[in-house]
Amino acid sequence: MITDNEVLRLFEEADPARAPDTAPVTDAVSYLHTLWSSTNLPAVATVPASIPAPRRRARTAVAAVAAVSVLVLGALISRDDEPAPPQIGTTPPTTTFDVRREVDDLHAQAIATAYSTLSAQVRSICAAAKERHEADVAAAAIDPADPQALSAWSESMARDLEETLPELRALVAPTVIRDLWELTYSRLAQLPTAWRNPNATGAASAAGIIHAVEYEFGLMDCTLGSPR
Amino acid sequence: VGPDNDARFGELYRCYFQLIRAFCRRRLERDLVDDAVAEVFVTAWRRLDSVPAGDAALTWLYGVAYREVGHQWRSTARRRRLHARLLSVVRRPESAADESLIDGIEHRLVLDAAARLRGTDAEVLRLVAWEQLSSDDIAAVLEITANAVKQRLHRAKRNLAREYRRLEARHIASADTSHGGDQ
Repeated sequence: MITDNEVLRLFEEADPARAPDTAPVTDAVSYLHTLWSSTNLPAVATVPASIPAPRRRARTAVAAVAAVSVLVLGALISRDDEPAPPQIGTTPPTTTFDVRREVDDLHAQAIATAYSTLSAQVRSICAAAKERHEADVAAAAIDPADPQALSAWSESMARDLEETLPELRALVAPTVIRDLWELTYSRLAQLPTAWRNPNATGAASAAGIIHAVEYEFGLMDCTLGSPR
Repeated sequence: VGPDNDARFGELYRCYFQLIRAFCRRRLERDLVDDAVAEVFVTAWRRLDSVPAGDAALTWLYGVAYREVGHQWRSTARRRRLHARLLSVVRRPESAADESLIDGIEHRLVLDAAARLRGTDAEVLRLVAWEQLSSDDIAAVLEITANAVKQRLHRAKRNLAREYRRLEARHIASADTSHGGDQ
């Protein structure tokens, strides 16, 4: 009888990647260019190149922090698919300059970049979940326009969202936005229950949670859909 | 900083592209491999600051690839589910590598046996046998403890052999029946 170790050796030999790879060999620059042209790759590396001179940069950062909160910043970024440095505040800094002079523009930029990356991840996961939900609805022959099918539709939404929560939970938010993400996630985690409770109102309702996640936390398109 | 990022990305690409590609080829159908690899490197580019230096970068990339492969598996399962109009959950195609790359009945049987293992157990096995990772590196990729890796590896080896023997017996019995029928 074949032993455990012999089976393991067979498994090692069965490595599908042992067959020659027919992928064309390219250089890093060409590959990066391909990635750029085929995805909405945020221009992380180009952000510093577009940063204005240090003096202006400091003033911009102060204006930024004074003018908008991190949440609004996140919302702005997550609504915009185009890579761009944080577009923040046009109001010229006045008295806030002295108060906020210790604020580092790089910190603001770090928050913006971190939030942009995280929101893209969340959106990607939720887009997949939404696709799954639509497949489920189609498979179950639920007509979204039929009022009688509301509870089945909501249950399907709740289930698909529940399946997605572990993936969202596994996301590791950068330190600068970790607290914000924890808060956002805690609201998302309440959504399945909300879908199953049509009598819920206000902040506890699905609409309330979606509003909080998409508008207050700035994670647009990250809740699978809107309440019907 | 821009040129530095380009150089850093170039280094990652040169050192690890083939390894990441092999990782994806082992787990995905041929037509999904390029997209999965691209996603891994897009993530690397987006998060260059998070990519650790040295050999730990490979472990980091494997972690990203592991999650991307999981995403592709779910997409595949979803397509099949939609196609079949089934409400039941479709089993994840654990061993979904290109069929044409599998050579010989023993290899096919052992891959089928691995596909019957629990998800993480099978992944631990693959990372040990194919990526040749240490317990610590596997723990980093799967985001579990090294102790859990050891336990799962032990269980996976035992169950792989058990499943293999079962499939082999079934295959022999099937071959015998077929042979008898011919006579």
